[in-house]
Amino acid sequence: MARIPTASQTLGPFYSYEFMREDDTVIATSKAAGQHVTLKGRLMDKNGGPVREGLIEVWQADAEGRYSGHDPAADPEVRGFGRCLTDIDGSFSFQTIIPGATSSGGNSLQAPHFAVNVFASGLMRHVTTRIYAPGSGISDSFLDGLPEAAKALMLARASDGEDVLEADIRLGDEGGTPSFED
Amino acid sequence: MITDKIYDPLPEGSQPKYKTAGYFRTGTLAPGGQMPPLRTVTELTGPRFEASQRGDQNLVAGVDGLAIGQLIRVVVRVVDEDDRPQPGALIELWQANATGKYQHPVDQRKAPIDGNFRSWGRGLAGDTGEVVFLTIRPGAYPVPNTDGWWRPPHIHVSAYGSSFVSRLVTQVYFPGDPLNDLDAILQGVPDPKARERLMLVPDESAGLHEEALGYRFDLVLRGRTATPLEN
Repeated sequence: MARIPTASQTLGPFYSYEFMREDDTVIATSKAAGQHVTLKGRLMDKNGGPVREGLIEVWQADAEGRYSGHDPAADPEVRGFGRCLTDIDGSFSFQTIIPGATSSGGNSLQAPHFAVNVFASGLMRHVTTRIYAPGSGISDSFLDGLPEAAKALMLARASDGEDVLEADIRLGDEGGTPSFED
Repeated sequence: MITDKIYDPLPEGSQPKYKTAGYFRTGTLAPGGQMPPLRTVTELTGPRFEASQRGDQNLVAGVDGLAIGQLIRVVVRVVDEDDRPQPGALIELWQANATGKYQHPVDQRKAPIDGNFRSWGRGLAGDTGEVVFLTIRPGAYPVPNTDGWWRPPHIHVSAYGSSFVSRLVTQVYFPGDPLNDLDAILQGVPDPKARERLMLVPDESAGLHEEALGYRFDLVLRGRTATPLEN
């Protein structure tokens, strides 16, 4: 019997802190293979104001492009998933590694990226986007096909040497971070 | 096989619009023109949760006795679009107490806290896709800085299914509550049938005799297990 997916409703402002585990922001442990980075940024509304109590969720591959739980060879030190409640200034932060390129089907590759779901009070459905690691040199038909402005908004900035990747997520319908339909 | 999963477009009106009349805050958060979805290995895989994430499904057993309020037992069943149970799905649930007050620092309203009530629960779906919670019917509460908007009694539900695309956060409601028809968040779902599907379903067999009213709720996540494609 075919069934229609349940309608989404906003996260609201009261998502319990009790759900958050200490290691929820650790996507890859310190023992994981690959280049270790802090992935951080701010969640903002259309006017650039902070969005607090938002929930940022990240899903990514290990340094060789393998996903935990789906590829038996995946690095056991890379859980691949993390989530972070945004602070009063909208900030979020994860400990992780830069993922490897992943398959996009056939022989082509996807450039290293983090899949991101965003939830917040006032978002009736979550917003799905991606953050791309800069400078991978991988030819990616989706990323390379984007207009330059949109591409720039989806690429993280490396700072503090190579140890930090910064990527702000701006909601709203003008100049916001590009996102995907369901 | 992830290639066996199919994610059809969602039926028109079955999901809320990002911009919703009567809910001011949606205006500064709603995204603009969105890109067609990607369906790569990234989206068709997702985190799995261990039994260690199994939490307490009893929200009413306080240190000094039972929580105050109408005791209810809620059987949440997690299925995909083919009605197949989704064992291993992680369900998180949170709600106000009987006075409409949340145990949360953002809730500044002057209403009593019930020390015997815990406002959150968590559980992993078993083989039948079910997670059972013992809780109370939450109270309604006013939304600050609005023109008399009260949220109807509702329970927040978060689910992690088989893939990144299956992720769902929603709220479930009590059928027949007069505030339901006035709620901008519930009414933000255009299709009345889709709103009806957000109602808890009273079911005596889900309850506890002379103790707790029973309700069922089917949580339908994105994705289906299609017959394998022929080459």
